[in-house]
Amino acid sequence: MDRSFFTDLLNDELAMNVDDNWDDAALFGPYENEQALLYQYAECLSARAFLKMCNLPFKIEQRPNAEHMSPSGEVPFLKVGRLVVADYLPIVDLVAKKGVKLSDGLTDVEIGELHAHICLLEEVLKNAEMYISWMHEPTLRVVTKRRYGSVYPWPLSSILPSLKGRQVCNKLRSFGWADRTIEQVSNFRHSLNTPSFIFAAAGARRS
Amino acid sequence: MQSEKIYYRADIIREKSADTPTQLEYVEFQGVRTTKYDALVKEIAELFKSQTLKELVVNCDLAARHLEYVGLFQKVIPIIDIAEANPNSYTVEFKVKEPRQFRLGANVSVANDGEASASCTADKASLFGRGEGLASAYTHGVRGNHMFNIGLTKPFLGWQRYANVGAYVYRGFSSHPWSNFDATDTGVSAELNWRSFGKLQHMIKWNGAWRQLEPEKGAAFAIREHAGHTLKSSIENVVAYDTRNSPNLTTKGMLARLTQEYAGVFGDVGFIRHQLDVQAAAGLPLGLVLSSGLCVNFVKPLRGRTLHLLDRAYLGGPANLRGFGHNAIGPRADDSYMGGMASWAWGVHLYRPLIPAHMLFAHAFAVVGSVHGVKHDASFFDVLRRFGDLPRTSVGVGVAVKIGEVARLELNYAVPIRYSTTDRVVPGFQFGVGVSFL
Repeated sequence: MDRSFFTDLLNDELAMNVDDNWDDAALFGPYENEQALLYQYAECLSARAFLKMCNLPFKIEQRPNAEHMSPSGEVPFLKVGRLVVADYLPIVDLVAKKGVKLSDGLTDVEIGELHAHICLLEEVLKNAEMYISWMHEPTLRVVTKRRYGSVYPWPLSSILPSLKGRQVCNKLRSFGWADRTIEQVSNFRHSLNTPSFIFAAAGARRS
Repeated sequence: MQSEKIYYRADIIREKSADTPTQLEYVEFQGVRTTKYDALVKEIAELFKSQTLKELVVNCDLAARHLEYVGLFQKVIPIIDIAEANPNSYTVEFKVKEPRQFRLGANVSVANDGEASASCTADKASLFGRGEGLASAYTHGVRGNHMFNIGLTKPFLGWQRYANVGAYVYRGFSSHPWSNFDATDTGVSAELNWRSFGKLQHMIKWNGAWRQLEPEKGAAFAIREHAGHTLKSSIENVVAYDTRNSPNLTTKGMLARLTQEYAGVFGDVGFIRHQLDVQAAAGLPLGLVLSSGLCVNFVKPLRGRTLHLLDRAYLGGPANLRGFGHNAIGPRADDSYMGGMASWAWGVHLYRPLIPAHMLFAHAFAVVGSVHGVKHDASFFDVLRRFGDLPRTSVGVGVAVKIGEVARLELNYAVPIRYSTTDRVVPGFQFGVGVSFL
């Protein structure tokens, strides 16, 4: 899977930077109230929650161009000193490299399982959220295009959402999501094919 | 009949019969296929007001040059003849060559930064028979970027009118390695050009541009902060006085040009720019040419706006401050140059034509200048007061090659004398190609 490949790549790259101190940490994201889309908002919240749980100090910066500032085009991204890391899982990995882990009490097998579940959940949920944002016509028209274009003056406010829409749709198409109906997508638990209590159990065991 | 006539050069007739009272009977054009009748009437109506033969000769020449200037014809030769009925009556015949139907071209080029591109062009002069010009170009860069521009110009026809309107649509891609970002610029512009007091050139231009800035992998965070899309809508006013014999490498004459740009009517970019360019050149004994140029650029962000990287003033490189890296003077974040809100550069040059004399020149120079970092509350006078802080200076010698009126090529040995530790200094040989040099 490409994510783990990138995570490995990142691990190597980070190896020389781990000794940096945790100073000037800032989490960059879009304007949460006016601009952020469903999945971006969720990722921003989870990154914030994670950093809070780790007890790491950080500033929240909201920028209209956060998506373009990000090295991978994903939000949120974390800036620590001169290091910039985008997306939720790489952020978790970066924090782990600094020696802070929330999963210390788990065995290797459990960590592996947890990781697999997080990946699966993220992929499925995020794609579902992207589908609803960009391929579900009423949502696209009323919510997504307006919010995405809200930070730009006309005519960019209508050009850029269309361009982004095309890009996201191509991506979803390549994952095979394009032919699904909104009912299939919103019934995501079937696509996850996982009993819901596993997550609850994993959470409970940690505490 | 026609073959028995003897034709003389205009200056002979003008001297011999300067004050002969004259009446123009008719004007004839030979070689017209698509040019419109009303356009020709506007252009030559004034000829009928000629009172003497001398006036007629001069006016015919002016008319011919103007017909070429506005693009109605590629070549115009006026022939004055005696009308048969009346001894003091004359007729004028213009032998003309209309511009070609369509001109197509293709070329491959390599820019200063080593970027290769292939382009094709299609031009048409006097598109609808009234001097309208159409120029279009499509360029495909080696990195897969597409660029194009389409321009339509229309002259105002009439006796000695030097005015035109133009409209352009374009998309450009530029790489800014000194700041570690790439930019794509898509826009429309409209301009009005005219002349006043004979030599004073004016231009008013509106430009609406959608710009996208993409930081490179190693870009400083300060560069990243400017990433994404901006919309610039600006009005530009240019006034220029230009008597240079060749804008590319002037050996005689001067240029004074003031450019003012106001952005912020519309769009999300707001600044006011004032730019002054002064150049003068004069001959010295022994075939030497002394030339000097001054360029001052001041950009002030509007209240509450940040000055975008693409709108800033940059300095350095073979085209202005030789001996420094291209646009690599002044404030820097990591290894990305941030530009500034003001810059100035002054150079003194000594040229000596070599062989061939119109093309190859020996060149000695001394240049000085600096860039003033962005301070959002600084006024013009604050900046002016600090202009003298650490002026970057370099001297050197080299050769300059003039490639037609289009480009100049320079190979210099430059020695930077004063510089700041943040500047990228390039002592020794430096090579530069460009269209506008200080």
